[in-house]
Amino acid sequence: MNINRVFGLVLICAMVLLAAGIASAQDMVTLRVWTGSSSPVENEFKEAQIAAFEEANPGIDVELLISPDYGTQIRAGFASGDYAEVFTVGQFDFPQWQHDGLLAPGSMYIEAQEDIYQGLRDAFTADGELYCAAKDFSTLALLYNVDAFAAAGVDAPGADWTWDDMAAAAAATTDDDMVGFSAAADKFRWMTLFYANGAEVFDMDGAVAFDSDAAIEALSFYQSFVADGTGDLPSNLNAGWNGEAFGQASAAMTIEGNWAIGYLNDTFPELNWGVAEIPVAPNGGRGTLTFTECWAVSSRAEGAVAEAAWALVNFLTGEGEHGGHAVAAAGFGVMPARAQFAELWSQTVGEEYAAFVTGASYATAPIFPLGFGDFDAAVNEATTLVMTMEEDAADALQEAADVAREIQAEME
Amino acid sequence: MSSVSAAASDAAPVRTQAQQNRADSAAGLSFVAPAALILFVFLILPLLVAFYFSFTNWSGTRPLDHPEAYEVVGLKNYDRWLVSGRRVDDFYRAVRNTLYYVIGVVPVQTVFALLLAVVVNQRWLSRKGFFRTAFYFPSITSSIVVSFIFLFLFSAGGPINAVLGAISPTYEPVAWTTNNDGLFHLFLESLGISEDTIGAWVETEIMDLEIWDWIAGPSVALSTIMALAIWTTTGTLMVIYLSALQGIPSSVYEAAEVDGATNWAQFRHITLPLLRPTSFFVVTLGLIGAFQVFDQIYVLQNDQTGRTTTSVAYLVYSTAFEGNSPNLAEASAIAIVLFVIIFIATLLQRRFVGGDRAES
Amino acid sequence: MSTITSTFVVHSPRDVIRVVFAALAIAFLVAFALVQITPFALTIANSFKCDAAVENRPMPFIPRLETVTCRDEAGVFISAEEQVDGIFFRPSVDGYRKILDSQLPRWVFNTAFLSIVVTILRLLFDSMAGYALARLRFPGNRVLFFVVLGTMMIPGVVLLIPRFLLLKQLGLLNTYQGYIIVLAADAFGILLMKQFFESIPQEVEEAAMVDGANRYVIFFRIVLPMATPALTALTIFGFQGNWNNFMDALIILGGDTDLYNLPLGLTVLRGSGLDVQYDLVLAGSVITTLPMAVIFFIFQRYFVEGISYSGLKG
Repeated sequence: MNINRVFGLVLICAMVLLAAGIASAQDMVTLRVWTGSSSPVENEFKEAQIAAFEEANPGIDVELLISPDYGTQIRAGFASGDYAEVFTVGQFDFPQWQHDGLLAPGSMYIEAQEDIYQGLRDAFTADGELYCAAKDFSTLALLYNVDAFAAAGVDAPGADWTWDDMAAAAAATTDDDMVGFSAAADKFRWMTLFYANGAEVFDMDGAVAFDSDAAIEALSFYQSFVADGTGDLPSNLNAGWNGEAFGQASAAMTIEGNWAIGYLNDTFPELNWGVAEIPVAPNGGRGTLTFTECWAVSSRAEGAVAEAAWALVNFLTGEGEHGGHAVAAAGFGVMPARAQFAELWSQTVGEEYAAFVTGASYATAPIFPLGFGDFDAAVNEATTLVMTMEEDAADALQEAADVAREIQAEME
Repeated sequence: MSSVSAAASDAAPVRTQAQQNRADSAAGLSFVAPAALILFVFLILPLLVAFYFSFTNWSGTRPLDHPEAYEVVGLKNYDRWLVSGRRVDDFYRAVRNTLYYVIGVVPVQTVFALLLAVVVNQRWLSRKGFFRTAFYFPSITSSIVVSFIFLFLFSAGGPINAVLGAISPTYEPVAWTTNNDGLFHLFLESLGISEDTIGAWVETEIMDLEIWDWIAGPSVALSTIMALAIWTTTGTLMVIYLSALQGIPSSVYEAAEVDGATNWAQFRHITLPLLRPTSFFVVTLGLIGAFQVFDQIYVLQNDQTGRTTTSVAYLVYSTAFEGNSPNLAEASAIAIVLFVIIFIATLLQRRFVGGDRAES
Repeated sequence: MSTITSTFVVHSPRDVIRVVFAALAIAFLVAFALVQITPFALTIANSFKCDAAVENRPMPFIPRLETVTCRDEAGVFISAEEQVDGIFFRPSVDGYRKILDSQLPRWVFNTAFLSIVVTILRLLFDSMAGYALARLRFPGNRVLFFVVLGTMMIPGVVLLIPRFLLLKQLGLLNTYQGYIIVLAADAFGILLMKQFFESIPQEVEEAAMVDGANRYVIFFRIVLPMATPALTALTIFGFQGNWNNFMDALIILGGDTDLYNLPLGLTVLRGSGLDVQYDLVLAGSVITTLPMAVIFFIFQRYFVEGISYSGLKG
């Protein structure tokens, strides 16, 4: 074999390899996808979704990272400027992350936006731009102990149940072993009543209205259960949270979210319980809170990578069989973010939990604007002071509202 | 230098003192080099970076390669938390809670650890391994399980209240995990003294908190957490004492026994003095650790006890990662302040109680 | 070894009192030991229970031979009463089955490997630095002591992100080396060793120095063997700290699940949120706690009086 032939062979091999390399580099897009660890079933669900996407898109390689401590890990990534192309964003993180320029605008890319619940779109909209697609959500509703209600001769709560009905039921079900209502000192419980009663954090003109009469009425009503002994804080009922107090049958009612479904059924299989919408306010208003997470695309993704990233987001959250449909069909606690799959979700988990999904149409994502961290802390403090009977609702809310007014004045 | 070696070096001057010092110097530097390098790069550099960030407004999320990642704002973060901000009272309340925690936990855990170590080091005790391991278990049992048991023991109808109720018929069950009343307040109350009768001076505000609030004492809920913390850390500190006890030659005890010294006298006059440096070390470490208490608070506080159980380290964490506007710069500022507090406390402890140098 | 206290020979009333006293003391110790072990014993018992029984009936601790599964064929969970009977319960292995993730062996290996390597390096570097701080006069000795002490005084959460950025610059993220280097020395260990070296007499070293031995020889041949008790303590602490290390592992190894240690891996499996899977959590804490207990039990044997002075006697 002469030297030229060897050289020629090597050259040809090198060229073939090079061509193959260029070809694969052009075809193959790698996406890093980061999210937090939720329940084991949900983790498996996300893995299956990603696997389905990779199968449907052979040119896209997805590296999924389910983090043990997502908040810390993604922040470290943000700080270094080197972070995932696709990642989840919780509603409370959204204002800050959007402000910090971490998220790519999504109005142009997210499919069939009008089908996503209004409240969820609002949660991820800034300056009229929708940034990311809600993947699923939870709402709060009224959980009640069916047996306790029957024993006390109280009818199961229906859609027209009012605050007065609730107070009467709490009084009727309270006995030596049980209080009527488990009322956690958590702003994200009593604010269901706040929104139902027509209260707002800011009024139409943008002025702080957190201490309006409607707000005071709502918090006073929530406090009244503790005040008259027909309710108590879960920490006084030997429980870490409402769900535990309710499950142990220490309380006949509580306000909790759909995450309690799995917990109650696994941990208290003999508990006979039902769900109703948050009772109607005296003025006939309805309200509840919603908690949601979305899939976002990094503002640093460009070209083919950005395209692939949005394709993945639509795959995970869209109308296709692996998006909202799959969330609904999986039937683990969280609900699909698209109204068209609400029915399917109820069928999967059981019609008895439908009140959670009914609330979606009037639910509010309770997000305070950026820079209102002190107000956030003040609302927490006000809630604790009211629920430990150290202050009345009017004073506590006024103190918190004054903090918001001060922040507003400083910002101008 | 001891007389033995001084005499020996007179006889055979292998090296001069200057040579020896130079050799020691070189050896010393080479001995500390690996550890010092690691600590410098991975602890001190990040600490300096955090110190720098405490003078900026960096949120912690905006990428640092962003042209407007942050601005230097001088002392604003310190001013906001220490002097004029809206949450100054939260900060000083956390300082108060932390101080009570430190004062309550450090002495008790030190004494318990010493007693346990001495007991499981006794020659007459057989199956030492079993006892040592048993006493060490609380230090390694998972905090989730510990908090479960804690909530069970101290619940309104739980064993602690049952036992106390059995002992004293007039006992009223205490809500151990949720009661925000300060122990000193309760004590004063039992003497018939309240905020209204003690005099107007208690309403004077020092650092945004009334004197009355400063002298509250640890709340019942915080005291319960402190009891639990003592239970879980004692085992760890016992190990330090256990290792130090091996340094006391048994010949010393044997001599004392020949002289007819009782066990208590041996403990009092031999063990305790010889363990002095170890005790100072354990106290220093306990102080530093207790000032940074976070885990126990995080696991055990509940929705009503925030104001009397939140520690400074907890405030650092929640400012950095929780709530509506997490802010790493502000968290760094609080952390630096905590650092200064601990540093001063450590210096005071070494000044007035003693350092960890052996006294000859 | 003394014979006076190690045997109880009854000669006089005083000896009788002594025997009674010793019996009482031992009874008290046994009771106290049981109190200390109970939480872990309950952890083990509850790791074999389904969520309903963990939450509602945590106390029964004696397993029956008959086992159960937490869900029946219809997918309905069994109640606490179905699993528990007096102080007995019918064990289920569902919790352990849930943590038998495909990556579990890998995580166990990582945890063991990193804990062992880091502990060995700490034994070396911490004791060298501790010795230098205790015995050797070099420029900056005193300052360095306060710097080492000072590094322990800052809440670690604010160092996480600066440290992450640094490791990224150094290219050490998501590598074993990164974890090992960062943790190969620690302030606590250095101070522990320094403190120990200060408490032992200098005569032996000085004698060796007279014989012309240099500091390196003295340290490795004479001082280190005398430091067995402190090295034992350091081994226990180093192992325990790294076996449980969540935060450092998250920052350094968090990007690659193949490199996860047990705390990271188990946290992912457990998930977050209010719907806690107690059986999984407890099974996880059993497999993280047991090795530490075993390590402690093995190493505590080296806490033997007088060992550090065998070279001094005579």
